[in-house]
Amino acid sequence: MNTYLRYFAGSLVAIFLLGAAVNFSLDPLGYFRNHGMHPGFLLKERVWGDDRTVYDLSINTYRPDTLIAGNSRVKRGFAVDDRQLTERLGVILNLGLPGARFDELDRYIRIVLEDHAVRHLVIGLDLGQFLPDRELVGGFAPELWLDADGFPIWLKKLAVALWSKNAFLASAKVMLRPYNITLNGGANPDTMLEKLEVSGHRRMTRKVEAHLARRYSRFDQEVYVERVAALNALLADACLNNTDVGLFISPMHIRQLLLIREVGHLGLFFNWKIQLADMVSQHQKKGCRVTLTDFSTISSFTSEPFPELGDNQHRMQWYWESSHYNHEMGQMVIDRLWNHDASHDGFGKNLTAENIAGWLDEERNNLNALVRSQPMLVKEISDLVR
Amino acid sequence: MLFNSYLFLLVFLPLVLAGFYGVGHLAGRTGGLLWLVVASLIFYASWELSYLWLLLASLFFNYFAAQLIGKLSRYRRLCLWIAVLANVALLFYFKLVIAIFGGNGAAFSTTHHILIPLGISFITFQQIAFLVDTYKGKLREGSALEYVLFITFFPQLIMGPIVHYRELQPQFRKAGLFRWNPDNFSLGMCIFIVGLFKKVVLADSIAPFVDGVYGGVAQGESIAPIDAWAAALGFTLQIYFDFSAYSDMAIGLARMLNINLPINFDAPYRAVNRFDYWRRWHISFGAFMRQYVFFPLARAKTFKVGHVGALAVTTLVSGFWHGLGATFIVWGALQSLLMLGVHYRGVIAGKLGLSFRKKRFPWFSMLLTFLVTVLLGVLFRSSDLQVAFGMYEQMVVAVQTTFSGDIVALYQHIDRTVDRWVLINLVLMLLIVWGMPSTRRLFARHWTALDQRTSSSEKTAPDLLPWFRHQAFGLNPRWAIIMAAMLCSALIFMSGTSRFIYYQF
Repeated sequence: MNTYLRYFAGSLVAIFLLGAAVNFSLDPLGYFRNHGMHPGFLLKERVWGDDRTVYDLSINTYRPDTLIAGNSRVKRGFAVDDRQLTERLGVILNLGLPGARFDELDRYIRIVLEDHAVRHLVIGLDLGQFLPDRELVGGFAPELWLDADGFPIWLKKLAVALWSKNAFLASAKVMLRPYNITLNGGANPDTMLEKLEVSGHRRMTRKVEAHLARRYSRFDQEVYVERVAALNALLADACLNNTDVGLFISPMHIRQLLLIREVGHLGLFFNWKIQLADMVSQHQKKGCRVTLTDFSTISSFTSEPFPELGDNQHRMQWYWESSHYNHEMGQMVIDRLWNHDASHDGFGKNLTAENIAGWLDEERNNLNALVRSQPMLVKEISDLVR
Repeated sequence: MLFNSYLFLLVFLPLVLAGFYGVGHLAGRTGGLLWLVVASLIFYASWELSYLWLLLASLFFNYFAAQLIGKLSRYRRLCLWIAVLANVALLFYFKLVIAIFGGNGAAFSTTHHILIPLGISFITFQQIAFLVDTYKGKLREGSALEYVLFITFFPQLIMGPIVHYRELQPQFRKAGLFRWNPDNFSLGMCIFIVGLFKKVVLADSIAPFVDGVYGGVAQGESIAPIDAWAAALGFTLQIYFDFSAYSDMAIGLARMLNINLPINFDAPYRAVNRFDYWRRWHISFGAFMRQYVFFPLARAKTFKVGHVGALAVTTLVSGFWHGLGATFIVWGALQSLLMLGVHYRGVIAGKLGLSFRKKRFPWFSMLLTFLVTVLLGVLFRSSDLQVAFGMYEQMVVAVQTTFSGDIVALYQHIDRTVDRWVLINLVLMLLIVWGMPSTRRLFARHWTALDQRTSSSEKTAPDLLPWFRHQAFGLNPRWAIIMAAMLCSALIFMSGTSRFIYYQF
């Protein structure tokens, strides 16, 4: 080997060791080395990834009285820096993780619960969290010694143990962030309004629905059972921590309900609700303070009509698009969860093992009536799925 | 198997290198060459086994066609035409497949499934050149093994540079081919690292944004005017860093195996007109088109098309080579018009009563040429003409806003709509393109690249970052540290799933 190659090899080793040292000093507990996520470096959430790893680091500095957890619907739907809300619920942490599956959500909720005495835990649930994530690229079989990128798995584990891109990037993000910034302050209305100005509600919703049609059409029994069990275990642990748990099924627009029906998973959706209601009733019998509230019903709120294609001026009252509700809806959900709203219109039904069967019968009838009365809407969703 | 994948870097390449020097040393020249052929075929088959049979059939056909052309005393010309037309027909068939089933969108997505045999265009061109050179008696007698390796040599198999048999075959026979040469290896490795860095850190970082904007327009979404410009500029830079990265990697890999490949890029975005641009961009393709399309047409006695006709046909064929979609055809036609415009600029200026002096404002000429490249790039990248018009429409809106004079509003618009990391990325890439030395210049002290150009490029505009101009690679500790850092950054950023844009061509 000539001198240059010796210098090159030496430099490589030095950079690697320096990186490992920096990595360990930035991330001594190995949060990032174990989570295997990328923070969407350079192009931010807009294109791919998200900045959840940044929250990981910040969770330890945050002392929430109330933790609102869920996926992007929670992130976009709840303004945790709303003064009125914080006066009632104390310091709120919005753990809305876009695209989160329930197992992922479970891990993050536990990180918070382990370190803090959270008084209220609110979890926004939807069926998508219990379905498999993206299909694996190229039919990769995980039992092989190479991973999907063709990288030897043992070497990857070693490299990740010493070197973690996530640790560097996430730590850098936290260090660069102004000290007093609000941690994940819910949806950023400015960003959403900009999107609306450009695309309008209708275009935004069609884009989201095209994506969700694929997600809702996947089902894996093993994954489903695993995630339901994870929720059950989480409720038990929250009960031990003396935390009030308010589970709620997201207030999805009727277009989403039709989407689930169109991909043939309506039965699954109703069974999922039955399982949740049974689970909650069992915990209630053990004396745990846990409730399940259903907002995914057909109501005047969830039936809000969408503006026509090309109409970028009209602003909907409750939704950004059919999958994501806005802050007004989030406020109403919070109000009804804590019974601050006196109206009894069926939106926000408290579900138990006793009333679930009757409730679902009513929902089925409402859905049938909707399908009969809105053939154009049904056709639009059907075309979209196809 | 991608050059920018862990499997290639950590398993395939070390094995090939060890085998090359080991087998070459123990089993002699034939053994070493055979090892390279087997490695190259495995490399090709790793993409799609069924395409391997097609490649082998094509090799078989062309080799025997060349043998026939070399040995026949009559009907040589007929034999050549049949063989060339068979190659063109095969290429045309696959271009038709992608035009019907894929569209340009599929071609440019760096994650989309590949529809046609990889590198079919490059392989076909090399084989046509081989047949023509055999017909003209320019080639020395060579073995079938050398021919197979000439076509399948894995560093340049998929995306070029397009090489001639007469450039590679003598190198397969040179003494010391299988002797370990640390300087050659170090140099090759560093050129490869530069290419890897260009692909993984630069090209791939802007690709999601570009794909997002073009994909959005294709789906009928309205995009912000400034996003259209950012995406057009982004694609221009992406395709340069992507394609030149592959060429650098190919040259570097070959150099590690003691083989010299010709340069394919020479700072094309510093070109001062369209001719100069084509002398710098995809040089081996330009050289092929000149040698095997333009000159035969321009000098043809049976049908006289003249230089103008030959130029028009050559640029149109370039468009067809990329694909049979309407966008490529329009792109080719516009290239043709622009080159004719440059060719006759003196005459046009004279007729308008203006005086024309070459190279008066090199920076202006360079920026103008670059702007034209960006605008033509929109056609090249768009999945159909409708998408291209959608992009142009938004770009015009952005220009109108700029000239409306409300600079504050424009700044606020940019600040609000364009991701600041995308902007930083674009500025950084432009600085690299206009301020940093090209690979050829960077490594000039230790490496004299093969160059297929018949004339050198015209003088370019002054450097944006003059200090970097004098930075030349040396086999010293400073560059060892820089290269190690570049390799580490590339390994960190490597996703392993992003293929090269030109794979589909």
